[in-house]
Amino acid sequence: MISGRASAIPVWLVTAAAAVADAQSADVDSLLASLVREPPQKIEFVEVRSSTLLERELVLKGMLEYRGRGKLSRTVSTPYVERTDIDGDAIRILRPNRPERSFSLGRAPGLGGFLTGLVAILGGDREALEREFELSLADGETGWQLKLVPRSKEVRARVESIRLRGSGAAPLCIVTVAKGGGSMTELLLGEAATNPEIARQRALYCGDSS
Amino acid sequence: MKIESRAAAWLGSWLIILVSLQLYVSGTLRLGTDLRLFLPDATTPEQRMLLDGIGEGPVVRLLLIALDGADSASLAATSNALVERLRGNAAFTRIDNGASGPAPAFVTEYRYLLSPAMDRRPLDADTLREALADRLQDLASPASTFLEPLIAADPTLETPSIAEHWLQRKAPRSLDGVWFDAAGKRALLTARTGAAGFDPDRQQRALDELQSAFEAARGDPGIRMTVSGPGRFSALMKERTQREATWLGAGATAILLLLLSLAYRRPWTLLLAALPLASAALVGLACVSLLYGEVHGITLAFGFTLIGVAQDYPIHLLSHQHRGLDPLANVRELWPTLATGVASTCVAYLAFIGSGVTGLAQLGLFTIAGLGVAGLTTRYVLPRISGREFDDAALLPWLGRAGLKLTLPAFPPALYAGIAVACVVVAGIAPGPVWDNDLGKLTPVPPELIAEDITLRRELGAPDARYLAVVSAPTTERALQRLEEVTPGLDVLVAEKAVAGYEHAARYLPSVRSQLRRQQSLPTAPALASALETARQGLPFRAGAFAPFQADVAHARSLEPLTPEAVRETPVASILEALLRISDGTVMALVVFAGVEQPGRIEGWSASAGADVTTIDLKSESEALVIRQRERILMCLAVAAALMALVVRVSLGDWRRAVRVLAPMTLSTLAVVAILRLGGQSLDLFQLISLVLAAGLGLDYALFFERSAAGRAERLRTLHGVIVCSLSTLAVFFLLSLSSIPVLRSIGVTVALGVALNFLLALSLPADRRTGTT
Repeated sequence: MISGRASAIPVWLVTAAAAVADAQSADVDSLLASLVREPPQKIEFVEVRSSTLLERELVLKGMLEYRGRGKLSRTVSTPYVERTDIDGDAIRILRPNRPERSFSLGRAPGLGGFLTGLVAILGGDREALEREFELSLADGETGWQLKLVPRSKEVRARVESIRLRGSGAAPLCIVTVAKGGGSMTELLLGEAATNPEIARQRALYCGDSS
Repeated sequence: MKIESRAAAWLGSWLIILVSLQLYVSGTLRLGTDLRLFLPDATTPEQRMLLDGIGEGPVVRLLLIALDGADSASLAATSNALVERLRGNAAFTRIDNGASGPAPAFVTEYRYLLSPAMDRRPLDADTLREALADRLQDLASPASTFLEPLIAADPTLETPSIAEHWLQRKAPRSLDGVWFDAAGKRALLTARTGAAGFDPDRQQRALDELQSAFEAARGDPGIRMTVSGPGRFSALMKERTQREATWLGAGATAILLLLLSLAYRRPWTLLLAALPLASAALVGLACVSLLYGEVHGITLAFGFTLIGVAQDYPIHLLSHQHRGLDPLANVRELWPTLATGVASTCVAYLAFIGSGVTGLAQLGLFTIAGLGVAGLTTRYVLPRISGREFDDAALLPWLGRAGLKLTLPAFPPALYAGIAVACVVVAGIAPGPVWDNDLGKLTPVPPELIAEDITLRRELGAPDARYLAVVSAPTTERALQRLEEVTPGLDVLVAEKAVAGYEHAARYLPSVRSQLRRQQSLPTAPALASALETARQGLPFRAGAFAPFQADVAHARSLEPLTPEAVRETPVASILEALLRISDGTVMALVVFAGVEQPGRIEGWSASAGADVTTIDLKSESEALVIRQRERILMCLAVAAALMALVVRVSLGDWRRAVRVLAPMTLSTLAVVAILRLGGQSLDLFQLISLVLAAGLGLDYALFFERSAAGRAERLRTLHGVIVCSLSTLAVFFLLSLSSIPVLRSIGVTVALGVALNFLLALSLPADRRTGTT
């Protein structure tokens, strides 16, 4: 009988834990389902890049284009012109008057996480997303926040997490948090990007709401 | 009883001698694999280059690798993992898959002296302005993940540009960051082995390392690896030849044992028959070991084939032995004939010693020593241990019947001469070239593997094995300078698509002159600081962000230029060693080409580049070498034939008999050549050697048939011996002719044909002495 009671406790625990996970998972599911986009999709972006080499942040504007099946294009229009094509694991960078540069995501682990994540979200590939990241969802006053923590050690060496914030079915800001906590890039999307008051949009959408 | 114990003592002592020889040989003899042992010494710098290139050049050290069987992402991942595992492996000096790995440390330190980009632009404000603007874009681009750590110290990206320069050639298509074929189905890599191309054992070890690294790196069990290149071929051919030679050897031994058992019906004879051959092999090896210390694998394989003649010596003895005959008397009776055969065959092999080709000289020495000892063993040892209890071959009923039928009518001399002339004519006019000058035939590779190699080589833009150029100079520095001077001409060839790419030592290590020039063009610390300040205007870079860069430039100004000695401990050393060859105080710098479309343009370039630049077409050079080798061998064979005839003449006492003995052998040699040529074959070195072997066998048959012996019985005993000899040889070489390896097959066909013809023609020996019986 002792053995019967002893085994009963873990069973109860597991059931409870599974119920909690299910609830979380159901929410993530419905959020992810709402974020899926039928290709082709275009969305404006503003990217704010910081680096220890720079005395002020670099602000880029342009267009992200989701073309389905792991294909994503990023076209920068200001302050310079540049186009990046991502196709699966291959990245190609095109600049006027410069030779084309191409490399594989394997060489850029931090980046790999970010792009795989974005493409998986847009394509509704929950499995690919979970393979690369631990997901956690939080709801705040201004909307939801999906936090992606990379599973791979190589990626974690550079990227602590990626925070995706949005409202309803609209993603508004993606923050790549560098190892150690500082932000590497903040990517404002859609209506957050079209608003000329970038600083205000960042304060609204890019902070940590969890 | 007394006789038997004396026989046992003889046998015992002989076996002890053989075992000691065996111990000596296995203790001292090394097996060589360098194919150059079988080529004549080089007389021109081009040929020296060729011979070097055959074994040790950069082209023959390159393995081409393809991965397929999965999607491009998993192939790329496996490709990267494979590179990761093999980097630092001692068997490989370099491995590339298109993804630039970490540059050797010295490249980073010396980048401002090494980078050819420094010749195009000084490190001034304009250059830096452009570079900083580009780097700013890089920082905000997906490439920032790996470029950001470099920018502070290397804003002009000099280190990556050197890495790119090193890979400069018609790079294969890049997919997922690594090389792929045009169809995108196979990931491609190249690996340079530390082992020379024709060192099959070390190549095999490198291939094993590659295989186990692949198995560990393979992400998807469906991924397959294909490896091609000279090293893979030499390992493969060695393995295949060894495997086939093993079963052919076993088969031949079985056939021999069966024939001897049938012929003599006593197990004892098997040991007796084996003794001269075993002695020949061991003494031959011991002699080669003593004089050379090393024996080539081909010498061994051929040598064992050639001393197979020694198998015939005991057979003649045993066929003539019968009850009541003292074996010593028997051997004394046979010895003049046997000795003539041994001596004339040995004289023929003297030709090889005089050929000037080490491998062939070894072969000659091995065979002469072996056959001599086999003859002496048959003369002095065998009769003392054989005993006399043998059935008389002359009493065999089948032999008696066969003896009548097997006597062919004598050919009139005019017919002989007519057939001989016809054979020569046929050999001359048969379709295809008479001689095969392709050096590649020495190690024949299956055509499907060659086709695969050509495809991979084209996809990878890997160096062409046929064309190269050599720049000769008195010093390494001068050679590097000359390479730099002729480089613009090479770039024109690439731009105009005459070649897909080229490679030479100055790409990896610029001359000291160039390094000093670049060094002198580097700005002083204040000049660089002010140029940076100007360049930074309007860009968001922090002041002081490029302090590491300023420190590195200042350091570069103080460096001693690099020389080949200074990079001896780096991965570049082995590449330089392959591309810069020093012989007789002259430095020969190689320029190797990839994807040669217009060989004529290379010639044109070298003609205008200067007298110290020569183009080499390895194929025509190797053919010239083979032709020269063959001319020497043919010359030696002609001398040998004359000597052989002289030996026979001296031994037989008059020219009429000598001609009678030599005629069947001569005619059958010519007939074999005619038959081979009618079969569409061109003659090569292996067939020449095989013809000499067949001729030696034929001479023995003729000598025994011609031997003036009284009585039908003695004639039948001779016939018995020759039938057993020729049947066993025929069976062994027929077996060889079934081999899947072209060399073994052509030896088998040639010798089998030769033995059959020699036997038949010997039967028709002019009848005056063959009918002098009954």
